[in-house]
Amino acid sequence: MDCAILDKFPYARDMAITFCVRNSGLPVKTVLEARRCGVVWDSSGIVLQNVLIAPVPSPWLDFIGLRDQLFPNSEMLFPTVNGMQYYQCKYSTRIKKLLAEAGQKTTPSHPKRMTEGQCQALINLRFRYWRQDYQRKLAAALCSFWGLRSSEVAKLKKRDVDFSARSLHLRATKSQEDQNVPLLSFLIEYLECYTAYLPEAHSPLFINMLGAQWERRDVALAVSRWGAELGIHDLTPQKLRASLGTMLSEDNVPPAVAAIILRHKDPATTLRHYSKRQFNDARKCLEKIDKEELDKPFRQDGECDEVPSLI
Amino acid sequence: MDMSQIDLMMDNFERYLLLQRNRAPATADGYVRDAKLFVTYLLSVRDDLNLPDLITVEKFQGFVIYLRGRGMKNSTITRRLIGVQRFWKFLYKRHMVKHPPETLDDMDIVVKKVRNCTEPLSPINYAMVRKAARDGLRDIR
Repeated sequence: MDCAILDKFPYARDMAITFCVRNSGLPVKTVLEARRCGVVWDSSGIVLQNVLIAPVPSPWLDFIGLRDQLFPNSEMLFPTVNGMQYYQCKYSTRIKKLLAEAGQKTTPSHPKRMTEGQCQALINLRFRYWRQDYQRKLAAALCSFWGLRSSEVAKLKKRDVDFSARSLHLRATKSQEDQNVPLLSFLIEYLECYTAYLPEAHSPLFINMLGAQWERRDVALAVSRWGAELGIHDLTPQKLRASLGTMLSEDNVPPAVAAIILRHKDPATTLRHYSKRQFNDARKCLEKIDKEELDKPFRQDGECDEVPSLI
Repeated sequence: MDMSQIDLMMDNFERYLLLQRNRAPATADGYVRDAKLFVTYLLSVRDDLNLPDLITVEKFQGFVIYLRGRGMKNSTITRRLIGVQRFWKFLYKRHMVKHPPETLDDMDIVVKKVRNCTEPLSPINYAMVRKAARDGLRDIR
């Protein structure tokens, strides 16, 4: 089982409980004891113990997704990570712990008596729990769409994302010179959202569980795990870069443009590494000649049936 | 020459690479390691580490055979030789060895280039990966 899910689940569950209690007015105990069959929900609202909660609190969606992954057959609505009944005393302890983690006062900790500031602080904690997941997806996208090298991804910082110029500034490049890559429009929205959580301009985009900036191997590990989830084993950033280079070559992208995308100083490097086209073209050419020869009528005297045109 | 002198020489070599040759720290570190491996080789053949003859064509050729004997790949051997050649050049420029550095060709050494290209994903898998990467980003909020 993915450890990241187990880390996220208790937070998502506690947040879902907190907002269900706050928005429904039901006692905590009643919400904790709710059964899966006693809940109906859609995008407009949740009916829990015959009480309507509308609109759907955002933590609910996180929670439902994780619960269905971890406990698809559990009868309990809010189980513990072991699939057991979750009790109020444990819930209170966990909420106090979360409030402390968010830098808030631990009292009041009852959902109905919590201040708006406390609630917002709890919501803001979400990024901390989801960050590893986000990082993996972001690293995979950077390697897939831009063919970035693992060292380049690992060393990215918030200041390297230039939204006004729509470009990504790479510092730890292979040539040891700073380079820029154009940002694709679909990524800008997500990067804006992601970087908004980072406090300082020099905050690393990617950190490990201890808070240190990623190393090259962390990128490789993240891409490999992400690939395994897709059913592709031994996926590496190098493979994604090679795939991008090959795709550009197959799509007849001019070598000079492909070299800019792959950040090769000399387009000859791009041709040398990624161009399989010439070989395939040679094969096609030979096959075409062969087919034309077969189609031509053949006469014993070696002459062709075609009448030579007079000039 | 004793080991403390060797260590001092290696420190000077690293400083030279970083400050004079403007190499990246990782490159300088790699070259120093290569030079240390060369010294290890000399010790293994009971060389007396005398400075004017610390590196000669014969010793360099012996080093190549030593590396091959350790089962290293050609690409690794090439990398090691580059570091040692740079070390040789460093010593020669400082008049610490009398033999000038020579190219592999002049020393009659051949290390065949083997290109080990990374195999790309199949077009179907790569398309799937790109789609999944794009879809995955939607979770960021």
